[in-house]
Amino acid sequence: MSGLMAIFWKELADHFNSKRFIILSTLIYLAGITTIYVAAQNIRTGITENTEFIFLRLFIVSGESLPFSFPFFLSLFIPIVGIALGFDAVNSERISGNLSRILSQPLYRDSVVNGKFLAGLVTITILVVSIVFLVAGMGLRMIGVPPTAEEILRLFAFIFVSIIYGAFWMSLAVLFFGFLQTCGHFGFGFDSPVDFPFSVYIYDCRSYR
Amino acid sequence: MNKQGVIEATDLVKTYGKFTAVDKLNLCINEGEVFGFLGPNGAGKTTTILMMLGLTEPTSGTARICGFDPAREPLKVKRLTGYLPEKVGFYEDLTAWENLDYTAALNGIPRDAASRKINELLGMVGLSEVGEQKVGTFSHGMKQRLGIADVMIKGPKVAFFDEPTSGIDPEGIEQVLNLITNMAKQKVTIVLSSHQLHQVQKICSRVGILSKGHLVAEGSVDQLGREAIAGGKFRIELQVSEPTRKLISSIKKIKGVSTVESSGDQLLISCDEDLRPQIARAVVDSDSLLIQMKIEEYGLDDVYMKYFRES
Repeated sequence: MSGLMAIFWKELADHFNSKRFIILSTLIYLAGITTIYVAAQNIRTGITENTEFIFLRLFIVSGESLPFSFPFFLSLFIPIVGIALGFDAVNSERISGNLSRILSQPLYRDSVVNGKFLAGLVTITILVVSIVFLVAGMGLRMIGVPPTAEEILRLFAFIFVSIIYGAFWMSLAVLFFGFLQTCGHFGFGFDSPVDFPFSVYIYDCRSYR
Repeated sequence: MNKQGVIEATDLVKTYGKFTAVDKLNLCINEGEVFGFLGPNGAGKTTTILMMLGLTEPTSGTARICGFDPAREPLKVKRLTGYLPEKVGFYEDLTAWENLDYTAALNGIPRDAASRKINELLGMVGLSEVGEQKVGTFSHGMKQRLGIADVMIKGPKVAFFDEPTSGIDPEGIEQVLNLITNMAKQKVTIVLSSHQLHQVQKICSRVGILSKGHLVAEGSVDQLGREAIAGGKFRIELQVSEPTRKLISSIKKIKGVSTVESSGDQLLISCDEDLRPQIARAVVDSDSLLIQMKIEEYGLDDVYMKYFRES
């Protein structure tokens, strides 16, 4: 258990220090802020007929100059973040020569993957929660209509689903890029005796041959 | 064997598809030994080490480290063993200190104990001054020494080094070998694999030669040399002033001497044990004068070449 937590904290720190993550999150923040700004500008036109969920409508209204809403942007970017966090989780360790060193420490092989997944999940959570709150706060200031209890609940449900969505893409990336590497090894024969057994046992695709 | 070895392998087999990497390997290594695995690339050295560590499962047969089966109780084995892989890597954007701290955390060593141990180990491997530098700036030799500190941090009973000296300069090799020898003095059992024979010869108490997954020879370097080249005999070269017939027959009478060949003033004696004192006395007792006498020593080169010519 201590091993899992050690990996978790190390990976979490790595994510927040990596340039890749910083660039991606900056992009997402910018996109989020832009959509909400455009929405705030156009929200008045629709309110006269229907006054339900005014606060939430801030998130879904899009303008003429920018015909995309906030959820649309998020649904586009979250898979990118998920894949970026997951795709070289194990391969980079192998290439850098850290994997065999880490695996010879007293921890289960799953702990390495689980620790990395958990760190990615927490990273996605922090990202999604912070951007939704940022955008909500901005919207609140711009239109001055406080959200109702139901709106808040719906907002949290949206956050929850977004996190699961991101985690899905991340785990898919871990799985597929793992398979690609392994199958590459099967294709080329074993160019390195150290790599070969690990690739077989981490993903456990012994049935592959 | 009445004493139980720290490392025991019984009929270890590992196959990858149709390829047999290790074939029925039997081995017993005792506490405090420095055991050298020799063999060309692809002979199965690394695979054997990985099976002993529990990093890969044997196809059949068993390995035991301090009585634990690495395939069944990998965590217990990994707690007792340290492993320095051939292409060792560290997190390049972390400092040497942080890298060791991570390993300590993975081993569940408490913070303050870990920090004391890390400082001590960095001093031991001569990296105290660069402990706060990022590993990305390190030379290959420095990384290798950091690797040794990394192995030592959990206080292992058994340490595996896979090609610890490959790709570093002679001075670096010297440092690495000294560190390994010092570990052995602290009762750590050491297994190292290498194809750099001279180094292995210097520090290993016993060697095993692997070829195509078979352990073709095993024993101390001297013993292997005698078995491989002289059929298990000692060969003594003797130079005297006058090799008289009387001298030759008196040498032949010494118990253990099997043959004596003479050529000029040289006598080549082969015998079952080191009989230099007795031969010296025989020469002194005769009228002849002793010019020089030496026992033939076997280098690993000879042994190695012999086994690989055969296989």
